[in-house]
Amino acid sequence: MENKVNIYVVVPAYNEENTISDVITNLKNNNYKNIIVIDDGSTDSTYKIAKENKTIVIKHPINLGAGAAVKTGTDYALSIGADIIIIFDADGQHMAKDINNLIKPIINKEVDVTLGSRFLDKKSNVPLLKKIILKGGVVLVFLMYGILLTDAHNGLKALSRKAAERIIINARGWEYCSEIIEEIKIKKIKYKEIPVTIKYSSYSIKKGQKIYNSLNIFLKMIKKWLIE
Amino acid sequence: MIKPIQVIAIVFGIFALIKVILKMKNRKLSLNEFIFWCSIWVVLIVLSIFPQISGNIADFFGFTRGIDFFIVSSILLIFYLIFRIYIKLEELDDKITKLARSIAIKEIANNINKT
Repeated sequence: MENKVNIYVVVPAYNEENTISDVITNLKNNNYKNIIVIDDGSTDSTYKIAKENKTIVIKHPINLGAGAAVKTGTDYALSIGADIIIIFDADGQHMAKDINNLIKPIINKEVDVTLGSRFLDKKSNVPLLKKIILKGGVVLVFLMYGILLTDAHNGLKALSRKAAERIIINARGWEYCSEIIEEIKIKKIKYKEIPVTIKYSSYSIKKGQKIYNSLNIFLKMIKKWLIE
Repeated sequence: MIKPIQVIAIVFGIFALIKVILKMKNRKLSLNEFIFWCSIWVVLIVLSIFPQISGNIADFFGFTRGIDFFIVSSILLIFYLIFRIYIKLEELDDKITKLARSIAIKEIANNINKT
């Protein structure tokens, strides 16, 4: 059964030349061969490295943002017949071995979306400040959309084909994570949180979302809520 | 007795009006925009020549001085324009995103066809 399911891993990448090669190797070693890297207008050699690793690479001519890259990737994966789409960050903080747990409930048709959560088990060593901000995000998402998650801003998720066709991402930046949750809520898509491990290296912390970024996401959520 | 500030405002208004008309001649403005900007500058010129008009309007709305009415309405107008620009910018951003995405996907389709 599992062999017949077309699984595509979408990797949005912006200036990730240091990690992209390891991320791709890690995915391939775990037997995920269908990898779509979206180079979001990187100015370093991300594109070249991803190409050398024999993946599908889509290059945005200019930098558009993480949300736009994810949408490009999912659109393309749908167009080439993906049954399940995994969204996987390019900065090396996700583990390819977690994907198996994410896709199981989708293959078994229990749910249409699985969201990675770093708080469901104790394996991720989340720095305190990061934890406070992430939990703040959880509260905010609960207040705005009425969905209580343990980790609302985790880059690792899996969507069934049906869910990917229904979830429409308009956000260009990182606020796409909250937008997916909003879409799940509005369109009553079945979801489940799955424990995943986040590897905090000094590199991924440096590259990851900064505090001011969280504030920015917060403002964009409010703006969207006010205007639409 | 005409005050220097009135002269400055009139000259500025005429200058801006000429700009608007020239832009219209080069078809850089839509008819709606042309009417909007023309009326703004004509109102400025008229109010500068006959400041008592703004005094009368101010009285009607409950302002003590004509200039207060003038400033308050200008600020409101500016806020409105900023809002419009903001919306326009969002739309443009959206269009650019769609354009860039379609270029990216077209390129990958071409590459696949070649190989």
